[in-house]
Amino acid sequence: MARSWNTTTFRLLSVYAVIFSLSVMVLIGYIGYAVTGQMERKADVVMQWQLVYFGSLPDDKLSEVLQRRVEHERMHANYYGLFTADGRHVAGDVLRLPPRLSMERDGMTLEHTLSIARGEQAPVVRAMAQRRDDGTILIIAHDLTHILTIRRDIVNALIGGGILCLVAGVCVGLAFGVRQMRRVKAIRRVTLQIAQGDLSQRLPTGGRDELDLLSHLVNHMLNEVERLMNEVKGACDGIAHDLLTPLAHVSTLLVHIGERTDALNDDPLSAMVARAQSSTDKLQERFRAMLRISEIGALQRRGGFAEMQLHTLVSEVGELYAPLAEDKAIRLVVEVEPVGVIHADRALLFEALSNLIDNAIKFAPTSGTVRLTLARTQFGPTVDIVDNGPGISPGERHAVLERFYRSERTRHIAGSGLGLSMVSAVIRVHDFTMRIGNAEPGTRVTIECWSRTLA
Amino acid sequence: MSRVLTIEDDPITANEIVGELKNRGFSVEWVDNGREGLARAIGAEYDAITLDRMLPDIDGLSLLAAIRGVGVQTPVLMLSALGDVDERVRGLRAGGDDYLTKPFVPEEMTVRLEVLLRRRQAPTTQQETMLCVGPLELNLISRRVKRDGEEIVLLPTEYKVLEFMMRHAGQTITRTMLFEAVWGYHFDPGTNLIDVHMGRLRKKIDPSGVEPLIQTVRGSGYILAQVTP
Repeated sequence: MARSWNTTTFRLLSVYAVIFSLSVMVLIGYIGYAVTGQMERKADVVMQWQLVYFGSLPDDKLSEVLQRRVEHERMHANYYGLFTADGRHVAGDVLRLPPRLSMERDGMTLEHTLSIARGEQAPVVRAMAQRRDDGTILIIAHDLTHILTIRRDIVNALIGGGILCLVAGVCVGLAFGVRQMRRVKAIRRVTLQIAQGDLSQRLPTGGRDELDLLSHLVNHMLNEVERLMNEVKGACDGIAHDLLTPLAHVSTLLVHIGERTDALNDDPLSAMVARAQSSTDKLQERFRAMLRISEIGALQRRGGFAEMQLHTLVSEVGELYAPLAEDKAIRLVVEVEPVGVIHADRALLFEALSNLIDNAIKFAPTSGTVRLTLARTQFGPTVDIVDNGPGISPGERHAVLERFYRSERTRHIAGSGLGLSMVSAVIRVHDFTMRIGNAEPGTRVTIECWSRTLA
Repeated sequence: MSRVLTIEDDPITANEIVGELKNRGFSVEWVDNGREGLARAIGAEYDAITLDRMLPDIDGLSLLAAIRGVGVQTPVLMLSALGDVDERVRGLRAGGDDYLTKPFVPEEMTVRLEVLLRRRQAPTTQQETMLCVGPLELNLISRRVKRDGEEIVLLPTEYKVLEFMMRHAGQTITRTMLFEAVWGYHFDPGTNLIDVHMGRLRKKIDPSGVEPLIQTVRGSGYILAQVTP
């Protein structure tokens, strides 16, 4: 229910229901007021004319005419009364003078208080009185029962109709809300797949409302993105083919030249060739690393993703690098907790972890310590790579992830400056998080192996 | 003499391949386009084919699929500038027997080609139980290694490296080949790392004072062979 409340449709629907109910109540009130007022005014006009008529009769005949009227009016809804100046009943079926009734032909509504003949229960009436020239008081009262009935019927009809409208509105709104929620759910599902790298997916469309408009827009954008990605990939492949191939030729040629110069026993020449060889090797290495990063960054590698055991992978990396660490008299401590399966690209993670361990071993001082730890946390597994080398200053922690960045302090150590950016590309493809911290002294690289955005 | 067909559009690369293979005693035929390559691969009998992934007229993969489609089972070594794993998988799925990323060291290509040829000549049905190179013996069942009858205790990784080296005794093994075969990953872990592993194995296999069996080949890799004086 909390989730339903979060959808726009449900909120709109609730606000709409409240406003609708309030306005129906106001409308009913107004109609009731208007109808009653109108009827009362009409009754007043009729009674004024009657008073005018009675006023024209001579005083002595009045009570007789009144009596006749009363008899005639039995079935009608008019009451008459003639009183002396001091309020005594003279004629008619109104037996007592209603208090507070103006004598100047002003209408007044009496709620069941008029005292009438035959002991009947008085209805709601509109009464009007006039003091005649001889001091007697004439009262006319008009029964309002039928007006009230009409008013009640109108109000009842309005309430009934209002409830019907409200129920129908809410039902239709609910139906729309559920439909909208389903569509949003479908869009969410597809978006997740796209975020996971499947750019061939498109959002579902099929109407002309705002959601569809947006979906069309997003789909259009996805087409563009996919096209650009393919172009980038094409460009990378082109670079690989067009630039790496001649470079490889140079490299091979240098090997052949090296073989021949070795036979000449010309040491300076051999040394020059060797330097040229090492330079081309470096060039090739950087080239490959750059292409590799672009390739990983292009997100086209989701194909390699599968369920995998992280702890066996971490142990494997540890075993691979143990001899290298030992060779440099560095203690490599591998601590692995079983953490269950994760969804990842085994080859990419292995490469990234290898890179990090390689770095750690490279930067740790002789007889230093490198720790590779896999631990279980409440969110998921984390891998820590800690060395006790010079460390990375806080200002450089972001920069080291950029391509070709090399710290001034470590410029003397061999490397392309692309290792960490390759690692960060792998981490990005997995949607994991990598933090570079201080191990006091040394560097601590932490990889949180769970997806942040897709959880 | 093994006959190899090289389908490669780049003349410099082709020269390299042809030169290298001729040096190693292969008979090589080179075609520079896919159409002719396809015709030759189907029409004539070759022992192996090197196939460029990107050809001007036909895509290497389509060519490969076409060859396999008509039942030609000649081993194919794919050569490609497209190095990513997806491409590799695609190449192997299309029927390639091995996949090498350009630019490559010519020796590595030869070594891989020799592996393909040997695999063809010695079908896997014939189970080997012992590998022998000179004074070195490796029992594949008990996983024991002896040199001159004396047992050598190896760690699992060292055993795997030695087994691979012995299976390809007399051939140059590149570092990347070794890394692919023993660890199963396709990236360059750095020369140093493999050298350190090899150094450990060497210490055990070739103690000082005896004739060394493992040699470093400058610029490319290692070779395990009995050096006959």
